[in-house]
Amino acid sequence: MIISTLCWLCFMFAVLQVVAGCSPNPEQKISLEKREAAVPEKKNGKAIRIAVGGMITPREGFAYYRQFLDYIGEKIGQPVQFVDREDYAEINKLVATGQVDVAFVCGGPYVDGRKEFGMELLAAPVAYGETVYYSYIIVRNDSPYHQLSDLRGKRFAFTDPLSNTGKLVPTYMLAKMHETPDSFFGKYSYLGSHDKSIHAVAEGVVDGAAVDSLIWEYANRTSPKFTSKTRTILKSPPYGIPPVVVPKELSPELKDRLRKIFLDAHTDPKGAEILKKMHIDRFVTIDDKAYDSIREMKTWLERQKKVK
Amino acid sequence: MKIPLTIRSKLLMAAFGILLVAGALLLVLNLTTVHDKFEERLQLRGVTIARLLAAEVANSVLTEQYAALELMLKERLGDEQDIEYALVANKTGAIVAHTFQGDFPADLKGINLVPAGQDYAIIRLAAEKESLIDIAIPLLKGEIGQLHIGLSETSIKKQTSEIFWMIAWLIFATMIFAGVVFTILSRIITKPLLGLAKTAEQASQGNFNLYFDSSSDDEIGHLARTFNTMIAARMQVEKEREKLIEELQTALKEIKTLSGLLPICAWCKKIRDDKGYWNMIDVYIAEHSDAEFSHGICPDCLKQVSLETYNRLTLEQKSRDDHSASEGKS
Repeated sequence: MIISTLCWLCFMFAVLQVVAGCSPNPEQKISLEKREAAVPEKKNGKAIRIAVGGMITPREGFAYYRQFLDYIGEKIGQPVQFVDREDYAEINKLVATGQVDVAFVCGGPYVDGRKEFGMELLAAPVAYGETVYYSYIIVRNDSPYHQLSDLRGKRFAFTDPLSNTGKLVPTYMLAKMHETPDSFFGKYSYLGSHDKSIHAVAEGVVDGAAVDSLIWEYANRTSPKFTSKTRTILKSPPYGIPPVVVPKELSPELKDRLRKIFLDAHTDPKGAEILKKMHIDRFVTIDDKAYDSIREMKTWLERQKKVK
Repeated sequence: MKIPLTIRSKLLMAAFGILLVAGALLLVLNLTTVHDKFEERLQLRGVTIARLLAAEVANSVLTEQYAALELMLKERLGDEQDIEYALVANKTGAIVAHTFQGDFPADLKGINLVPAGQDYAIIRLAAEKESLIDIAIPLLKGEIGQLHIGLSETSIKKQTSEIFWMIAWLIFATMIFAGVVFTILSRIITKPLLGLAKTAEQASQGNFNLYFDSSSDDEIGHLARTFNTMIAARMQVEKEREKLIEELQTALKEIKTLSGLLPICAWCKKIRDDKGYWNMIDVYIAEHSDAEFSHGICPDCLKQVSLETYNRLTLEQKSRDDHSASEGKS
């Protein structure tokens, strides 16, 4: 009896060990010992440096900017260095000091850069058939707010202190109502990007936000997870679209070569494919006058500040 | 030869059997469900870490700052015990940054590609010394590459093994404890039963002057009380039986006294006793039995007695008359 019990115990233990050894999922055999060197970092020697500040796509479109920069590199025959900075002011500083050769900037920073250090326009995208964009004041779908005045005392999100649609336009709208962000909103913050502002409104983190119409439209067409939870209560007048700029010191030859690449991109199959993913029809030359409305707005706001 | 099982053996076998079955179930549960749950949690944790890391590394991949990227990966994952490695592959599949010392394992290149539309992909890897779980997260929807983190299953296996042995030791300790408890318990149960059996054995030998002392209120106490009642009843029956036997023996003796050959006078019907004396029949029977006699005269005897008495009385009267006459003459 004892022997049979012991035998049974041994059998059970063996079965358990077998069960423990069994794995439900198949494993792919690999060796961690055979080694290989990683791809070295590209040398920055003679690379064209391009900063991406004012994008017309949400963050997920960042990859397409990278592809477009590689496309430029291919066309110009030089490596391209993607320069990324936290805010618009830093990008403007890089352009001002010639640390970047090209920059995608927002309309507001362009007006500032033009005024402060002669930033020059290289080209501008045509998106959704226009070279203009708007500021959308958005709120949550299920919120009781229907006009800007309903957001008095509420939480609001701006994008960047230098952003045109994300700060300047809503500030201008408030100024027309004899208000400032401080006097009108209960609390406001700078979230750094239009995607984050849309996300914040959709999730109820803030009650309202001012966002770039191009980014809202892009997100709404590609992945409306968050935009579908938001509603536009106010659409601003049109403003000059975020342009591509160069420092005024950039050699005219390089400037011309770069401009040509931008303007011809939509005629090149690879370029056209990337532009399509960026929701850009093509690049065109643009006159500085396209940004006069932003300039006037800024001037008016500065005058108001001085009056106060 | 079949060994008879005692109550103690049966109780111990039942306890050990239950413990072994319960223990076996626990061990199987540990080796299957618990292991799977640990792995599931590890994978979820890995996916969360990989997602956060993917959001953080995207810019460095875009700007091709691979040295800074590698440093960041090493800083972020330096304290994560379960993460064996992290590496970033660009869109062409080339490894641009990793956390391995020196070069990276070539076999990790091109593995676990995330299908389009999926947020992440997980595969199991069998390396030389351990099993790994590779979690891949596409960077910016896969447009700039993938981030991989490799989770080591060592901690899961260690934890599962620790639980396995803990359960095994617990079962072993419980079996020893159960053995001691059931031995004591079986002794508590069997001791009065053995006493009762001994008493019953004495009773079977005819000794009914017994009393089994049990003060407990349980089934054994009830059995003892029932046994005592039975013994008392048996003793009463025995007493009555003995009395009956005695009475029967006395009666038999008496019957034997009046039985056999009695010498009787054919004429006067007197009976001669053992000493040779002739006794009246009524006296003899009265002495040798419980019978008593009432004296009377049957009608036939009465006729004879009356005639005899008349004759005798007549003769006596005549005699007296004759005597008186003679005296008168004198």
